[in-house]
Amino acid sequence: MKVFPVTKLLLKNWMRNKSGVFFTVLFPIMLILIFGSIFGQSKMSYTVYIQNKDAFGRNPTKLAKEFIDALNNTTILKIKKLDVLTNPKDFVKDHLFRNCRVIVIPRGFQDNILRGKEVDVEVIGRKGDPYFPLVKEAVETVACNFNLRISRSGEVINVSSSFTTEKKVTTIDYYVPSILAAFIMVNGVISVASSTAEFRSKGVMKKVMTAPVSKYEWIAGNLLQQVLLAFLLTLAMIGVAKAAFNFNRFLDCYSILFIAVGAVAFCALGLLIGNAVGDVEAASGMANAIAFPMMFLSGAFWPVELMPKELQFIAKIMPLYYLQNGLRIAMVYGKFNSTSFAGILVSAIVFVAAAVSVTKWRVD
Amino acid sequence: MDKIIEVKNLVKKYGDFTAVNGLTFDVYRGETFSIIGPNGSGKTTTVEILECIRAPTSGEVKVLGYDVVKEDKKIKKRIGVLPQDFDAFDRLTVEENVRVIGEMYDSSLEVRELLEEFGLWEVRKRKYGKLSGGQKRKVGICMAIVNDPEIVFLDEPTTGLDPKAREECWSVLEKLKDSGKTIFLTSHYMEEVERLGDRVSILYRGKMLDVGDIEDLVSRYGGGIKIVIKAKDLKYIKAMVDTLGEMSVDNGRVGAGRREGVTFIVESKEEALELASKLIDIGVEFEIKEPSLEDVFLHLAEGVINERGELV
Repeated sequence: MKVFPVTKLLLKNWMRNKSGVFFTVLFPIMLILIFGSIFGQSKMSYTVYIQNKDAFGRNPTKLAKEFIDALNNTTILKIKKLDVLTNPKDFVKDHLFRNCRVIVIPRGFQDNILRGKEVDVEVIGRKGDPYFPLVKEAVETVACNFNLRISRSGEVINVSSSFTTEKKVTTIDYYVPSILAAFIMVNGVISVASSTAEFRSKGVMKKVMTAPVSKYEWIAGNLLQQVLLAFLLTLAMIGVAKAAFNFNRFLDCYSILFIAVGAVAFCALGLLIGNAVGDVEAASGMANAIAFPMMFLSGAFWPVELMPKELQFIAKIMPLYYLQNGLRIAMVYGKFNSTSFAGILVSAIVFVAAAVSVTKWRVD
Repeated sequence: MDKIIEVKNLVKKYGDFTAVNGLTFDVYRGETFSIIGPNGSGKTTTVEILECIRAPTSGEVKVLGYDVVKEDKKIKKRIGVLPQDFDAFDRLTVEENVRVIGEMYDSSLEVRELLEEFGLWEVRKRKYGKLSGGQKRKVGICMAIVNDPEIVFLDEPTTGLDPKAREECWSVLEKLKDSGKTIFLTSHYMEEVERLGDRVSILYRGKMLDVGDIEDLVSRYGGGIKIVIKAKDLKYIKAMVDTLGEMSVDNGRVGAGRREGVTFIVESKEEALELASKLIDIGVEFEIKEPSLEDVFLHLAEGVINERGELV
């Protein structure tokens, strides 16, 4: 087995390439620091959805409308409507990365107030949402003023809160797995394609081909190198994110699986390009032409759901979409997303098969 | 003698183009066998077939008794290769380059000893990319022999080097030759082949024009000894020819070397000495040129190979 000497050789060669080390490890860390500084500690939004169950047909009752208007008049709450058929807790769960909260105005809100009965307005948010207490406090203030204004006799509106069971999710939770996935892809596709083409043009490949190393060992050595670099990048990014932004996610077996399979898939794509296109500049150009659109369209920097439908379709045919989606779900929620895993696994199998087919161990 | 390479009717075609056309030769253990020819004559194609990285179209090729197509793994363990235009890993040091290749084999030579022997130990920590052309080629040779191979293939090992670096490289290759290893060398430098080679195959347009001991080929095709009188003045040359004609040199004939001056070609050393003494008597400057491989090539291929490897 000559896989380990090949991996050792490639790792040494990588370590000596200062720009390679910068773009493989330091640049993604810089991005995490930049994104984390801009978005991680800032107010994400104070968007509040209101589900008004106290209405006549489509029109809210007078008091419900006044309560909603009072909420809307605050400067810190941005009110959006949620239809009554939607389960508010499911709605919060389904919008994992938007920090949304729902205020539920119950049926009989107006009638109960007019009868002097207590009314429960529920504020639903995600447990650990850092801004939930602020939102709740704003709703309580509005409710208090509303109570005073309409009754002057005591409290009739109680604000209660409940939480969905998701872990706290912050912006940095989104960006660490996404940028990690993006740079596993960039390292595999761009650096492997360029170095493979360079080795071919300089006669290094000829030298390796004349040694007792098979093409399978050469390919496996490349894949192993990229898997090791992916884990190095993962540890570096988690360490920096933890130190700078109190990022508290750790690697579990699902994340490890996604990182390894992702590194294999994109390294194989790089080998495919580097071997199919002999010229160094052409291989580098082709790798860039593939990697950069994939990085920006696969949801690594912003959620795919925010894109137009046509782009969403394109995103979902890109292997990086499955890697970053699956890795994020694994790292943040500790869950295994089988669809994402199937997507990246199929990509890995196809790219490895193509790389094996295109890599010629004779110079004909 | 022990045949270490056997080639019979080797043909290599690229589509309709025949790069190698029916080569047959043997290489014996311990000898330095050279292939000489201009660019495009099929040298690299032939050596790459022997190195098991190019498949022949037809013919029988055995290296160390193994078939180059079916038993390439067995061959690769026991050969060392310096590919044409080889560049190692620029960012690795001299020592690392040699070590990483050595680790690809089951066993390898002591790297320190190897680098010391080739005068590279002092620069072992220098990055390959920072070396001179001659040093780079020496590192390439070390990488070719780090596995202590039975046969070393050197494909145009000094092409592109300046004369000083080439001379350094030849010294290293002479050491290698003295170590008793079988060397398979391709080149378009006649001087290189004459200096290093034992036997030579002359290749032209994919065909072998002849093969044999260098001395034997030179004696067969090299022609006589040349005595060149350098002069640019045609009148002076004419007068010289007339004068020497009157001297009735036995078996001497006047060559047509207009650029060089006048060339007299004689068959034996005695005749050359006789003519030389007459020229000294009349105070003429001249140069004696013994027949060489270049003359052999000129005779067989009707041309000479220039510095760039082209036939002119």
